[in-house]
Amino acid sequence: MNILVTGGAGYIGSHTCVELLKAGHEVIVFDNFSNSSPESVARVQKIAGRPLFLVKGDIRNREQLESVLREFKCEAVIHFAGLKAVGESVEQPLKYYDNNVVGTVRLLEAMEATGVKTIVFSSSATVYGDPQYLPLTEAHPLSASNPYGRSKIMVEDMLRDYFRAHPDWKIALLRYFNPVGAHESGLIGEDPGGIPNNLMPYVAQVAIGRRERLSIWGGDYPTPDGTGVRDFIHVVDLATGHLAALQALAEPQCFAVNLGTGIGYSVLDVVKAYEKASGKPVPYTIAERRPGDIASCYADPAEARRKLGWQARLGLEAMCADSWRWQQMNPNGFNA
Amino acid sequence: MIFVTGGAGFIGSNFILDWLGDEQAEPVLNIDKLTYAGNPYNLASVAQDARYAFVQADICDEIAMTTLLSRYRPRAILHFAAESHVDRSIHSPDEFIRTNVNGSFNLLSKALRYWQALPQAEQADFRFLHVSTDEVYGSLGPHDAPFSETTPYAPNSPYSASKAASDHLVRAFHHTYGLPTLTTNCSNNYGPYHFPEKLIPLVISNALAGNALPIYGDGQQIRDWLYVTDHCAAIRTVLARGTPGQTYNIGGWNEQANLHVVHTLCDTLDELAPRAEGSYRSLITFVKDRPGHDRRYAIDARKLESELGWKPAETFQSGIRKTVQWYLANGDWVAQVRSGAYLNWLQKQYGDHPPGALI
Repeated sequence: MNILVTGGAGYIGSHTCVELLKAGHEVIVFDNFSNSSPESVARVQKIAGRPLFLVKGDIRNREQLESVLREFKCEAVIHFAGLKAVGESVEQPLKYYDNNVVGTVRLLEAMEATGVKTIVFSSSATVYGDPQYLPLTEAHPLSASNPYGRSKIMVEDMLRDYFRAHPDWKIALLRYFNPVGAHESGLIGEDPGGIPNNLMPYVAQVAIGRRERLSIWGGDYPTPDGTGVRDFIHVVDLATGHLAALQALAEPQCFAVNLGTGIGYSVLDVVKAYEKASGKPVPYTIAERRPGDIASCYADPAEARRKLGWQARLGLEAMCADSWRWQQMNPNGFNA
Repeated sequence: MIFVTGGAGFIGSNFILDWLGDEQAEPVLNIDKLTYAGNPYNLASVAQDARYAFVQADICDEIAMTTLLSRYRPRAILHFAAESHVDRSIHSPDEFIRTNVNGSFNLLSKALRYWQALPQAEQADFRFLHVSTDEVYGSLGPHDAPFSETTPYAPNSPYSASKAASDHLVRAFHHTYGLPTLTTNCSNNYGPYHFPEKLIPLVISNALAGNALPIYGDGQQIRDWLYVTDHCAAIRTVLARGTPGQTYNIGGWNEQANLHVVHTLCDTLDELAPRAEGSYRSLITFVKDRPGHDRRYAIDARKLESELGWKPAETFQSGIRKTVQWYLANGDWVAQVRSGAYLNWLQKQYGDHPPGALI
């Protein structure tokens, strides 16, 4: 199948491209490189041993999207492109609504104009807001406390509305939990610019000595060791989840599904596992809670198993070992 | 598809026109930054050809080069793009290093990454053809043997030094990484679409305007002159049959002193466009020579002839005649270039769809 992958040069996108290529699909990456590097695409091709097509473009440019969908005779879209920093979304909400919401509107318009009716959308567990119960099932009510999360809910709502009006479409909303790790080759991984927003890249930079110590935001949560608990999922598992979602979209439908392991690990669990994987100490200090953070969040992965025939295979050890390999091989990310 | 960098320049546009003249030819993507020397108006006749596409991009642009390669998957890259006017290289060498050295390096690096990801059969067919100059060999004395492919490099101007550097990089990418490269080193080109700052078109247009015809020094600087269409045919031959890793000299077998070139132009103009005031030769004036002006270039192109069976079709007389006829018939082109009007042509041609959108 010819598949347009928006944001395909990014962290999750690049890992998904590897799996798509390995499965024999033709991949067309569409990326504006606002937060990624074409080097990741070069490496994806190296890992897969096959070339893909790369187009530099912005999803807000409907005309360009249309011409690319036509030119490459795309049959499906995997839509990763979007901004993802919670803090930045609070400071610059319009930027988030423009990229994430307006961008998706333009993409849907382009798909409608070209008759492409299959889309897999990158949603997030953030759409559940503060959990009312755990583990989180897909039926949990949606809420958001920041523009990033709200943009994801808005796109989900929009896609559900769109499906009501166009019941011949095939739409999958994948709610990611906390993607970590890297490809086992060490060639691709998460490459955050500046100070990492997410735990594992930060831990990796502490382990390699680029940052002095980790601040753990809150040690007094109602969790076994007092630090926050998250459902960390290996990015390669997440990538295969997209393949499974595409296969599950044989018939017209619109569904949302969690992509998580179902297992919650605390921040301290991650720190210890990382120390073990890297053989390096990861000094930390417990700091004040960050406003907006929640104590625990993990998925009920049953629906993914049932619906997609998919479940996560890789555990915390592999997540840390692969992250560490990537970090060591690419101390400066893709800008070596 | 093939990529042509610098396809809006003099040799590049002639190459594209020549290439597309063959009905069976593969499509071409012309990648050109459109500096002062790039004139997309040269390619107006193929602008509507479905086999031709143009993108405005800088070979130094990493994202653009990666993207274009990955998007269009060329079978070959013909690398013409370069800053090439020696006088400009004397006054501002920076741009020559950036484009000719760093730009070529970027293009090579991105081509290598692209090539490495290709399936084996496509890898074997791929070619990176680097178009270079005989100026990398330096200058010759009056009785020295012409430059051959084994002549040591001895560049004398920032321009030729930058081209020499890029030639070495191309060589290294073949020997180090196995990239199937080809290098051609040509002598002075002339013919249609030559930017009017260069000797032959400058003389023609100055003569027609009744302006002085400046000659550097004594005018005894000797160059080999290669009609541009011959050059294009030679490049097609090297692309089709050249051995990866090899370099080929391309020459016209026409060593002429600059003064003789100007005399020939004046005589041809006297015949084709006679002037009431008498011979165009009377417009010749001698000016101070420029620094580092090489005395003589001559090229030994026997390797190309013996190994690939190619030699030029035009003599100096026939080539100059064709050139003068072309300039006489294309006064509007010269006027467009001089006024910068071709920049508007681009706007008119592409309107709201700037050619950069192809990236």
